[in-house]
Amino acid sequence: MQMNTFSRVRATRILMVLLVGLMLASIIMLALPEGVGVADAAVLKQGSSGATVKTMQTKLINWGYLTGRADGIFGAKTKAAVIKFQRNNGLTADGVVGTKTAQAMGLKLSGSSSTSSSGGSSSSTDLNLLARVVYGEARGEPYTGQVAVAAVVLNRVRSSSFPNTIAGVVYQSGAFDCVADGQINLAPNQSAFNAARDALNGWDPSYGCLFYYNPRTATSKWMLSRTIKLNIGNHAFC
Amino acid sequence: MSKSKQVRVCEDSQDKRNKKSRNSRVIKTAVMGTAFGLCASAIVGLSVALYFADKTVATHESYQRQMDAVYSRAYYDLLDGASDLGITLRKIGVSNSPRMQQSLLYEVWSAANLAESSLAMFEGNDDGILQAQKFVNQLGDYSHTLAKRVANGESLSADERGKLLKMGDMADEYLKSLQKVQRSLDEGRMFVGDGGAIEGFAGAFSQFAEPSFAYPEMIYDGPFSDALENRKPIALEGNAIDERGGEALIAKYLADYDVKNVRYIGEGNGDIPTLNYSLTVDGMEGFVQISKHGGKLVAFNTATAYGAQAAAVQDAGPTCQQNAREFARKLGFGDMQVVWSSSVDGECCINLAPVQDGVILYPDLVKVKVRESDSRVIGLDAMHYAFNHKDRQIAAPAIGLEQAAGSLSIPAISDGRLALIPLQGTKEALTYEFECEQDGTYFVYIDAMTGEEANILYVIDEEGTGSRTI
Repeated sequence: MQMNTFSRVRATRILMVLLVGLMLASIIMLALPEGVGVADAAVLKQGSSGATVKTMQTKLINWGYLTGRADGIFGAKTKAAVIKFQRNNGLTADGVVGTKTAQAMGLKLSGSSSTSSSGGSSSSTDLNLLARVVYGEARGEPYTGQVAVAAVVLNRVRSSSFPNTIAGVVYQSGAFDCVADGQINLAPNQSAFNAARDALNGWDPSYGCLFYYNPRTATSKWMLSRTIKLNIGNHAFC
Repeated sequence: MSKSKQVRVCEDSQDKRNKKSRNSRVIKTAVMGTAFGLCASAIVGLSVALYFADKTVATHESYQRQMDAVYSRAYYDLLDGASDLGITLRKIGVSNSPRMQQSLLYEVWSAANLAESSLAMFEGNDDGILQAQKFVNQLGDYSHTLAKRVANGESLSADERGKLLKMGDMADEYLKSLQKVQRSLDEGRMFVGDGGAIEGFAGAFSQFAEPSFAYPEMIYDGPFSDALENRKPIALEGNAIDERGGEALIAKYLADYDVKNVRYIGEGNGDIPTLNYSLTVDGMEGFVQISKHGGKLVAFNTATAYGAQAAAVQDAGPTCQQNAREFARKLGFGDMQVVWSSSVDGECCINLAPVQDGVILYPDLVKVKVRESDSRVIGLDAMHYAFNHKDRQIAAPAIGLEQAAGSLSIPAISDGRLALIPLQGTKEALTYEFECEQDGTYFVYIDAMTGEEANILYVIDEEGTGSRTI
């Protein structure tokens, strides 16, 4: 009987020790200093960690691909988020952040100095902002469709019914999907820059349109009630 | 035997019972321990989850309050600016002192500017709010235009006073709309969140979209004049052409190119009615817009530098400019002069302007894009030409070139030439154009009738965007 009581106490103690150990381990894991581990490499993949991973996670969280907090550790959840990002942006969905994915995220990978960002050549904020709208809204569209999207922004700036600056138009509440879903923060490619520049130089394939939408995905009755003036690619301009 | 056997069986069963009860105690202990362990880890897990959930909720609420503050500030700025607008506008209408009129007009201009940027904070996808924004923009623009005119010694006409009074009435309506939002805030609602006041904000301006809403036609010399909406491409006249006709014209206009896969993709019914075609030009993705009336090529563009960043080519300028002029001439734009050229990413953007009786016509620009590596034209835009070009009656200048040059305050590096330039709105002015240099390059335009400065442009050299003027 005594022996049994003793063994029960011992079992309970062992369990307690195990539990405390488990708790300690989880606390240590939670509180583990960020950035400890593998140094930033030219490619980020599952197992990588560090400041660049943290920056990438913050971006993915901001764009809605990842939930939780940026801990700087490239785990399975981060990999799934990267794959989702790659799939949405027409990249090879392998969950590995190489040059192309990093460029699309606007991420600088150390050790990959050869990747000159195509957007780096511009010092004009207007051109930059416009190119980001084009990339966020219309990459994958025909080139002229990209010019037309940039022209719609500029037509709004000129119109009395809209704000009078490019930033005012772009960031007007509810105006552009790419602002709402964060895709405006992606790094634009050369095509987006060229399209933005053509629009700034005066090209406007829409000839004065102030709106556009994708007829296949648009749900706003107010938008759908407008008279379409022309179609380019997937966009109806009005 | 049987007895001892019985005893042994008895002992056996006693032993078994003891063993059994010991086993069951161990199992009990293990089960209880596991249950306890599970409970404990559940509590720890839950606490950790709750801690983070609590933090997330707190962060979320903090963001919500910050957003609410941003919207509240914008709203109260709007209300503040709108409160005296109607009265100020009526004051201008009855004032007889130019000095008073000018100061009140600038007051309206400044209040309208503040209102414009605050209104832009709110969602614009609503006809009422679009019209309210238009009212605010035109009010500021109109007041500014009138203030400048009063400053020049002109007096307000009866029509202008009438318009100001009418805008005063609209300002009252605008204030009433804003006050509707005030009511829901007084009920204790926030701007953001469930049932927030922001949801009813756009709707508060619904009467601005009513067809019965009396809105004065605002034709004046400012950038937001109604005259600039619904412009007609006056340079494009002639019979309407059809899909096939457009294709034949493309073959003619782009005869020097390897044109393939011409595909009609529909009409464009924007301010310039066009027939639109996608095509492949020298292997590049291209797009051509032929005017529906007159069959002119109004836009041609290619996705040329896609993915490639070409280096600037030394001394490519003259050949590029020559080819740009030649291309425009072949398209029927006549003999045009190069008035501006800038180079970026291996492409040259050249502005061409027609010349009439020795006067450069800046409102009628045609823009041509040329690839520097082989001086090939890869794009053209004739929107300005389409909207503005016509045979003009150009009056003889009232002052001479020397007199105009004499009024320059900085040294000119060009001889000066006659140029017709666009002013605010739809007006044009005959000027002398001088290129000047003083810590940078300026283009100064002296009005050939009055001798006053009509405009000054400054040349900005920027890497990436090329040089441009502002």
